[in-house]
Amino acid sequence: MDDLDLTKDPAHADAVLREAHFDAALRHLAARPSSSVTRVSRVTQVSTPRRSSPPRSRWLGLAAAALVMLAIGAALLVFPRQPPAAFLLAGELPGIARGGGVPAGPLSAVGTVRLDLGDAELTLLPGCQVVLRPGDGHRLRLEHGELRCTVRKQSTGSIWSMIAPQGEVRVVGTRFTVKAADQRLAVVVDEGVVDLVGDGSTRRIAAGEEAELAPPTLRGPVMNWRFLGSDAHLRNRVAGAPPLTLGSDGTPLRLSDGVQVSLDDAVWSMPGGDDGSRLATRFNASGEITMAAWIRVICAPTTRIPLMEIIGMTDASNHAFTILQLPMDDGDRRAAPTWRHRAVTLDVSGHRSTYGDGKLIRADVEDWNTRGWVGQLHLKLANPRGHIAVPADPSYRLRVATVTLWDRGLSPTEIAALAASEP
Amino acid sequence: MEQARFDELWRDSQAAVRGLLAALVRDPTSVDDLLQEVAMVTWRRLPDYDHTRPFTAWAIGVARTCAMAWRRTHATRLRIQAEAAIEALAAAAERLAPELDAREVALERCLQDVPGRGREILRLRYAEDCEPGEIALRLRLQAGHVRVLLNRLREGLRSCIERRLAMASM
Repeated sequence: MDDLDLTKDPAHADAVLREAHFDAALRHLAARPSSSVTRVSRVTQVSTPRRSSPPRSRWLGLAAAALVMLAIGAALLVFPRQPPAAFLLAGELPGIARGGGVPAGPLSAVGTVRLDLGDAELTLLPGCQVVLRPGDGHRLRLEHGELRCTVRKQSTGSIWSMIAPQGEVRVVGTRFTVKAADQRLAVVVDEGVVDLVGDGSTRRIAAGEEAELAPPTLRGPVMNWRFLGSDAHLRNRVAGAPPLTLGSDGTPLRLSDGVQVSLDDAVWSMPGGDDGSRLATRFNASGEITMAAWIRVICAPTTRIPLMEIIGMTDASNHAFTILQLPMDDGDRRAAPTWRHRAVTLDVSGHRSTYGDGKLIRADVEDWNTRGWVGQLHLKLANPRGHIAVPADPSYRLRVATVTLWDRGLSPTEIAALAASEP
Repeated sequence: MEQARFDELWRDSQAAVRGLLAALVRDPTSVDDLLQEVAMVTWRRLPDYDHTRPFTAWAIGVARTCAMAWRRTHATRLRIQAEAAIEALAAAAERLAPELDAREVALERCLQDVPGRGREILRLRYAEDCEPGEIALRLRLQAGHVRVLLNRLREGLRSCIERRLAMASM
């Protein structure tokens, strides 16, 4: 574009502006859920500031959050320390976002909030955190807090369900209260019948009854790779787990206090065969995965490429498929590099949560989980987009202390505890 | 000015401000960053706002000032460097503000009419910032096919916007 043309011809400036606006508005609006998403009454939707969360930061977030905080200073006392993607505020504040649709992702009720999902009415009590997902299947995940549900009678064969870290509640049409706290899930049924699924069993709870699910037995990691400064080997600390081999590209690893990886597509591949099948079976059974790593970016790349990703094979045709990806954020690109804990989880209902230093920085929903995984795993560091021909950035340097995989989606509390430890 | 009134005015101005910043700044993430900054500065400077002037013009003025400041600190992120050219685009944003707002409303409605697969491709491309090759991998399509679909979707949205604007003006 010639700057001179813009000053000479207003029509040219108008055309440039319209074109730029089209792209920017498309990026802004495409990030929103479709019109089929839940509509909300009597609540205000506020985007949370996410300056450092690629690929999209919510432009209105800081301003909106600032306005809300000024207007409801007292409510600050009940804001969670690590804000999720959006707050639902009871009260009389007008809507800031046009339309009033609630995005898929984590929501936190600051006051008492009523949501009408069409086939169910929810009352979120203050402090309740849920994740909504438009469409079929698990539509609601209760992260923490107390929730009252009135579920309208479902059509024959249809089951309305919600999940929590401890288990699942399935209903046909009923009124009940569910509370997730202290790692326990409690359900009180007022009308109808619900099935409480968890801990390997299903319990039917009738009206007037209540039941509780104890915390699930937490399984440890299935793989834990620790990269040692003076050790030329990748030491696998989980007994019985298969050994790792370097990727076929033979990229050299320069070891210092962590593994320093050049950008040329360093790949650790888990071999196939029995070992690969055994590991895949575990991910297939749970449908969930968590990847956590301690990383330090020595020299940031010029573009925001992902830090690392797990690639699996999803069908017999050997199509590579990205299972999990750790995006790079501004914290990774600091001038003075520090060790950072990064984690990403994918649960069986497709909810994916990305964490930086124990804080939730991004949440979205996929339409798949790890159940389609058939037996190979590649951990790619530094240039995960290499397979689609993104040019290498020779200045990029990354150090990795540990990479750990679980066959379950870890809770925010567990991630925070990991981040509070030492690399 | 009460906060509710500010919310309303800012909402009506955002299309023009977004358009201006998108024309000035190279990459979408920087547009978001600068837009956040403009929103914050507009809020902080609210006591300086002259209520006899249109709010959108004032917000565009704030955006222009922020962009000028960015020119000193983030020069490489700006695609337009000449001060006169920035002024020309700011004037265009002020001139086109109502039209850009109408276009954004129309685009929002047009997007709602895009069927599932098309909507997913648009989301991956514009919300997730995926390249066509990556979208192809995720959706198990050919990369060339994804490019064709993206072009068709964009053209379809442009036509839809023009149709809606024409209907609104009848």
